[in-house]
Amino acid sequence: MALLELTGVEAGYAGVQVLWGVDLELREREIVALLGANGAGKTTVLRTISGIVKPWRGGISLQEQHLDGLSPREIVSRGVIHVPEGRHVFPRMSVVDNLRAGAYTERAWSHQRETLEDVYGLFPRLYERRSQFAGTLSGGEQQMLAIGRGLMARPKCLMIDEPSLGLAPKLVDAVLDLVIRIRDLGCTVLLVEQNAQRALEVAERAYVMEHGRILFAGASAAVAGDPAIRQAYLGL
Amino acid sequence: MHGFNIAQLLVDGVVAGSMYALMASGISLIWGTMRMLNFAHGEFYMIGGYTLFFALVALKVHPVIAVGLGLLMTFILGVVVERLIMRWLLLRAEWEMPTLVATLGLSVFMQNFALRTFGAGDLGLPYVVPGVFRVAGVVLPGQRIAIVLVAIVAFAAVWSILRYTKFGIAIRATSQDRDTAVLMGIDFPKVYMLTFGISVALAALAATMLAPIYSVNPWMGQRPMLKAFIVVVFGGLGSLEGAVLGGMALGIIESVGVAVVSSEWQDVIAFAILILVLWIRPQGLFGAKES
Repeated sequence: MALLELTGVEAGYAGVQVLWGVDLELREREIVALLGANGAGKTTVLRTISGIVKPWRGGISLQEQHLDGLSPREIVSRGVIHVPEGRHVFPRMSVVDNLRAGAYTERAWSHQRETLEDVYGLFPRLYERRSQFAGTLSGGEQQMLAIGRGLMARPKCLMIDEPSLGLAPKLVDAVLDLVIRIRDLGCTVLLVEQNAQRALEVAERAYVMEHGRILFAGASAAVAGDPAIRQAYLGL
Repeated sequence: MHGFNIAQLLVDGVVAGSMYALMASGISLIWGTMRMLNFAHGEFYMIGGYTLFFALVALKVHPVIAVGLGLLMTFILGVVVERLIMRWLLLRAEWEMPTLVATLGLSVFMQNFALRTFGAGDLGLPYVVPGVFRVAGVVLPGQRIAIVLVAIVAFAAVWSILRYTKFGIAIRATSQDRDTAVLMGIDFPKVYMLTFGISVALAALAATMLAPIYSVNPWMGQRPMLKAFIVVVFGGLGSLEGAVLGGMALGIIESVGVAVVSSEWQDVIAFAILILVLWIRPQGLFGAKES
């Protein structure tokens, strides 16, 4: 059964259309990669799902309930969480307060303690640095914090935008390992990546976007194995 | 009266400074969270003063209740003003001018509204806290002791709210990165509304403490607001610590300065500090540089 479904979504900013009929489906407990060049509309897909950009046409549903038209707050409280590109941790808040901010909705707030334990279990480094200002963390640690903060909301679906951006190869491995562990905990992950090679290694399925349209959808192996797609859209 | 008593000057400075700090912390909180300057801050101070006056003189309630009414009235008015006026400007403003002009206009409106409704006269109030204490040659009227204590309690309350509560996390997150706060499910318009209400209630608190010393009139908020703006420039806009320490520093410098030269120079000293700080350290003593 589909957890999250987009059908014919069109959206844009201030009259400029960016998405032209996006169909996308996420099933329970899977990692799906959303690939494409810079400016293909990947981030706009995430922003439309999380309610920051209102869809002009088309539908978005979570477990067959409408998400489109809801406020970002309502979408977060239903368990669809967007970890933004560039980490965007709150720099002058401690690590633990950043995490608590992630548990802002009522349901997550009341389970804060257990979730915090789980997140610290997943990211021991964050526990060590819990009283430090988030702005003093390294880039990799900030990415861990941004993902951990997303997990604090107890998501059904976690959408992570460019987690490997600006990280050293070793840290990219660590982040992608975590994505697998998060999926194994029962959370569906939508992974937006420019690093297509690595994303296809962890994802079960992939969508390839160009100019605001889905060009190709299929199993990761099929995407990785198609020379035309590799060359034309993924730069592999 | 008591010559050149340095202890007395310091005490007087702390008393004045704690009120500057109360005013300044409200302005700083609004700036830090909403990125707007509230030039009507002095008029919310005035609302606090008038509410205290009518609660004490017309309703004849206990002073503590009168102060509470002053805070409540101003808080509600602040929430309404934010909801009806500022929100629309904040949601569409790409620069700070619209809210700045709107608060200036609001300031003129509120002053003239008070003038028409209550008249131009100074309304005097008895000291809420009676008595005068003398400690080691320092004269301490009860009202002034109360001012410092109330300021300490208010700062502790604001600091604890920011530090420990869920609402405090929402305020800090919104002030540091509003767009990301939205992704946490934080309803930033609600944060704005309550922050504005709390900030102007701090001004009202200062007014309820100072109204018995000065008096209540339509322009009573002008000087405290100017002083508060000097303090926020001095301490750094958006920094609560800066507002508190900057307020104390300005209070003490004025108090000592007036004793050394003469009382007409009080504002000259304050504005000289303002110019010096702007010149040497424009981000303020505790302010972070804008990123």
